[in-house]
Amino acid sequence: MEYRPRILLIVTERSPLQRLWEAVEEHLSGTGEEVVALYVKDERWRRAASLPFTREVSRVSGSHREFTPQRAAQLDQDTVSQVRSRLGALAIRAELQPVFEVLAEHEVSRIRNYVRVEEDLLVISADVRSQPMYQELTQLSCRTVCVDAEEREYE
Amino acid sequence: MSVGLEQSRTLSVPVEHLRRACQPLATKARQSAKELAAASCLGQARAVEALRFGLQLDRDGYNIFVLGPLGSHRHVLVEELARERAKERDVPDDWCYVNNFANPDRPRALRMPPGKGAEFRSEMSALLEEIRLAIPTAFEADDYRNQLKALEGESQREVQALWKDLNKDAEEHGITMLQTPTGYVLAPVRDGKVLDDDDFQKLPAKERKSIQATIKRLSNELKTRIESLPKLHKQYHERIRELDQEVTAHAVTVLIEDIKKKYLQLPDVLEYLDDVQRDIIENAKAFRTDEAPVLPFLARDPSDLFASYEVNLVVSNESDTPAPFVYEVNPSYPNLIGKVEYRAEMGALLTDFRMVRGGALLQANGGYLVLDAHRVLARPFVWEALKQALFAKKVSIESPAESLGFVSTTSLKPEPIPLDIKVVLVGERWLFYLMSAYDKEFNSLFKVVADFDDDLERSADNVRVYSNLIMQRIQEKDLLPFKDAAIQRVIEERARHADDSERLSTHIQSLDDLLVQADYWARQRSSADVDTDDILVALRGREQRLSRVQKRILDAIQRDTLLIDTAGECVGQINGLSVMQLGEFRFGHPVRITATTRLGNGDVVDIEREVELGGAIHSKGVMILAAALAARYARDTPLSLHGSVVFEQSYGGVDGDSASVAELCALLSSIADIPVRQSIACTGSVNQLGRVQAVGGVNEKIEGFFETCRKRGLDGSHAVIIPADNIKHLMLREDIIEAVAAKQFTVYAVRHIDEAVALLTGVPAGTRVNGGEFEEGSVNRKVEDQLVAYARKRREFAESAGAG
Repeated sequence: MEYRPRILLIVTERSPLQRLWEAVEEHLSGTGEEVVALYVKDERWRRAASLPFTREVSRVSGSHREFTPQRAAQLDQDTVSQVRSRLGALAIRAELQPVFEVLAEHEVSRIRNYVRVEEDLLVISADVRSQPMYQELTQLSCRTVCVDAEEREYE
Repeated sequence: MSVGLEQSRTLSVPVEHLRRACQPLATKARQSAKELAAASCLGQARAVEALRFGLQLDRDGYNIFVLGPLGSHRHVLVEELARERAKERDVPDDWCYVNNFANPDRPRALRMPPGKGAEFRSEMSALLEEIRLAIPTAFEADDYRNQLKALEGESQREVQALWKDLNKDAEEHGITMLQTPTGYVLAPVRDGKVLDDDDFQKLPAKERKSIQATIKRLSNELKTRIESLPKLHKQYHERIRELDQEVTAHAVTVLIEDIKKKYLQLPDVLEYLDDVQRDIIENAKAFRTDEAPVLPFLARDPSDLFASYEVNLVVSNESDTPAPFVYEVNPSYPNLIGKVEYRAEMGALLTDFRMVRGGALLQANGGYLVLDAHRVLARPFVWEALKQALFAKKVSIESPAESLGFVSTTSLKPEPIPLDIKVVLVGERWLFYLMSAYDKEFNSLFKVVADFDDDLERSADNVRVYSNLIMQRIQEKDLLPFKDAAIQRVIEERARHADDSERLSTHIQSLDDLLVQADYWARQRSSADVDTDDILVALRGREQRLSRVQKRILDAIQRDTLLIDTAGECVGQINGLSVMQLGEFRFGHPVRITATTRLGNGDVVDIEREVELGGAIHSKGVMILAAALAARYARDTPLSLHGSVVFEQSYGGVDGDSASVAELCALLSSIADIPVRQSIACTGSVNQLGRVQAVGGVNEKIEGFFETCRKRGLDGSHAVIIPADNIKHLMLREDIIEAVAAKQFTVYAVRHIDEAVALLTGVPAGTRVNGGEFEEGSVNRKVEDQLVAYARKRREFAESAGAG
């Protein structure tokens, strides 16, 4: 079976998608890499929404509204959909067809299943560092590129 | 019993009266340059005086209406006199339209001394060029960048301070601020993990209560800070704006102050420059935008930034020129009043003060505007707009639809410009009388009438000046020199054009046409000058070109399609003479008139009238001749006649009373049963007393009958009877003069119907002997006898009918 290197893109709802994708494109070697985008859902919304007293304060007006589990689920769904759509648009321009997967926060251990060899590349955004899953990612044996909104750094 | 040779000779018009020849001219006097110039006003003394009066009287409503036929050189004379007067008048001011910064839909009009408008426009243009460079330079300076950075830093610190406090407060109480796509959610956190409901319920009640209270407090605090953000942003932008204005003011004030010094005497201009300065400073940001727009087609031309400070010079005069004189050949609404133009931009029509265009009224403001009346009336809305402008003494540039209130979309309404103008309307007489009758405002706006004469008296002095006029036209048209004899022939032709041997036509266009055509023929024969023959060739050539219908009628007569006898005699049948005007060509031809009579009720039927082919004047003529008949014969017996007259083979309209002599003669012939000579044609109108009166087109009528007879062969019997009062109008062709001189053709002139009757019948008309009956054997005696016989028969008929 032919081996195809894989670029693993870790995305959250706050990830700078444009910058991440630019990093992906920069690392394409033209050898037919497979691009896999893993969207890790922020469980904090769901947890906060389970509390009966939490409110969402509008960024525009400061007004309050109930933050229910349904609202959190809806936000999750909308965010996943938007991220998927934007990645799709970016990939079309690069003539790529990335695989898109959604992981819950407690499923992050599954990420290691996607990494097969040391030649694979992990592309993450800087905000991931402050999330619990970052610990899991540091255990992976592949190369990692961390992208900030302003700059990229290699680890 | 016949009309004697002596009487015929008495009534025949002597050859020398058939055409009044022009006497030899005084060549030296004719060539005086001063006289040549003066000749252009020939025959128009009254009109010239009226024009001078109107041009000099600077009062409301003293505009001028110039009446006169086309081709009478009204425009030339008006221009000459108006330009002469314009030299005495002050040069009017310049006018510019500039942006009204307070209300851009109402462009502002700036008045400036003559010549200053163009100067101001170029100075403003140079100023904008300097500003275009000065402003970006000021904004690129380090000083500005440093101040800008300082402001940005200050603003960021203020915003950060807001969140920093809040975050710190939240963290201290174990609360995290989660971001959602649309806002923030405050939630309790323990060991870096957001608590869910299960975890939360495990906390002590007191702590739960405290967390809830803290979240509520922080939410309210968050709301307050979010609400204060726009204010912070606004403050930031205001500081930037103030900084920009400060920098811009520094860059432009000096430049604008320099211009102001030149216009200290013009408060309006100073005020405008203040507005410009204020606007540039207020819109400082616009002048330093160097970012490309998101959509390339939205990119603005950098010059557009300064468009609102441009100057639209709508009226420009030079300080050392006379007051303006404008002849607007196409006085459409936009050409006269002005217009607001539009440009298409991304599917929309846009405009601004720069697209306001002045019309002829503004161009001639302070001077003279000449318009053709028929063109003014033929173009929609123009007459009303002109009147409105003259009454209001100002020009408001707006579309006709707007002025009528038909447009609801916003457009420009430029500030009206005061109007001080003398309008000269040039038109034909009928137009003047119509306007005068149907528009009551017309007379109060056009109080001066300059009436151009069609002709002038053919006095010796006038002939001399007329020859100067001819010379002047020859010079102006750059024609070959005309021999004296040729000029004499032209003058004769001008008398013919005036239809009067004692007058000369002042219709310059037709004079020019004759001169140009004669010049053409002279050149055709490689001559160095124009001779009499060239004039004749030009005249005959013109006639030839226009005479298709005339020839067709003559052919029809020759081929007996149109029945005209030129020999023999016939009762109740006479050759009348008709004139046809086709465009500018007029010709005469004979027409057969017949009359029938019988016992009747005293009425004479005009068949033309009955079938509505006769005009009112013709009907009047017939009624007059019927009255003449009734008044003249058997006055003490009822007129028991039924007569009818008709123009045979006439299928078009007939008007005029010039056939009434012929009609009466035909009736008398029919009543008296005396034949009429067919070799004679007759024209003239008659009054109730039998007096023959002058008619029009007498030359053409004679020529028409002469042509008919000539084609059949002149034998000396052919003649035309005309009213004696028409002798002065005779200017017949040379070939007719020759025929008359050779006694092959005769022109008779009569004063009374009796003279015509005698000539036509060859029988004396007869007079009443001692106030009793007419002479035995005379025409009148036979007429009266027949009428008395009719009356007797009628009475007998009535009696027998009554007895029956």
